[in-house]
Amino acid sequence: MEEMMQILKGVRPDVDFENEKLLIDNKVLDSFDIITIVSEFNENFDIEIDVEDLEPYNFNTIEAMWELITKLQEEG
Amino acid sequence: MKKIESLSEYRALLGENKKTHNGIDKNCFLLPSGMEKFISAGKVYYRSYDQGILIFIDENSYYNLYYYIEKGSCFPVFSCEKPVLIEELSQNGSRDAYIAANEARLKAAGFGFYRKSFQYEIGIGAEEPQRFCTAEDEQAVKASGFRYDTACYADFRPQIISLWKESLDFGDISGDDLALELSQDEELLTVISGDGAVACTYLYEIVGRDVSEGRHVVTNPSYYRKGLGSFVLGLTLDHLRAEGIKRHYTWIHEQNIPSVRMHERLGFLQNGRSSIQYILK
Repeated sequence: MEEMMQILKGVRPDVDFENEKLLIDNKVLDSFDIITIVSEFNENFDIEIDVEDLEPYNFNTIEAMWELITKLQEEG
Repeated sequence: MKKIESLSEYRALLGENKKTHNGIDKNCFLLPSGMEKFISAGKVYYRSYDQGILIFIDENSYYNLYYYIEKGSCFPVFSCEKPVLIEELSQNGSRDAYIAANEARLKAAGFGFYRKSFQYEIGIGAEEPQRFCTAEDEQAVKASGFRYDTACYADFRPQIISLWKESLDFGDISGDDLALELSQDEELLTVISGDGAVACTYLYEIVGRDVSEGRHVVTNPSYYRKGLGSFVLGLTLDHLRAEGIKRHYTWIHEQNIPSVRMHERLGFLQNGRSSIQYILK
């Protein structure tokens, strides 16, 4: 979780990831942020986030992102 | 080329493509809502190949191409009635190795390097102390006979389109596309005019809750060297701040040194994001 937070803070240091609960729905993250976050997650956690995973509910909160990462690691 | 009629069809195509290939290289990370917008507008087409699937977004005078092809495979060679553009994005060099490896197969398929741009960003939140456009700037510009507005483009639309067509170097992307951009709700424009003529324009867009993107600054050549580019930018930044926007960014072509300097003078800094475009003519 800490590594994930470092990645997120690296992508958008201005965002309060701990408290924002609608990162996508409220357009806090833009499409470039998503591209970067997905690339970084794939590389750092050795997973493959697919198009079908690119749903707002997977990226709206840090908890949801962590759940996606752990789910894909278990599947992999 | 076949049209994609729904998001579920798009998902099914990609799902099937994933099943039949051993790992996928892709350049698309659009959220479903973003893709759905294009599909609803009837702008999305696809072609299937042994290597994978290519998704074409019709941008009128060119296609924006998203690829989903088997890892490490050659890029499908094809021809198209319009130019085709592929964009690769990177932050702080995070995808440099992939982009370098991918470039060779894009070139083998006929894609030429088009241009590299960097993102420049500035914080414009309420905590930022300075005004970008001072009262003195405004007085000086008004004293020179200029007027400006953030919502007056209807008066000047034909002039603006004509100016953009003459002034912007978009390669194969025509001025007609710019005219279309003007008609889209999300796009906003600041216009400075003098003597009934458009002197300078700034097209921008609200892209997030508190984020905006600058698209084009265009100055009429008859009004060069009057500082209107900086003025229109400063005016827009102050306007955006008053609207609650906190970040503003823009893409600048790496060789456009005058634009880099103008933005840096206002406080813009490179933020590590870059874009490389390849074009197939």
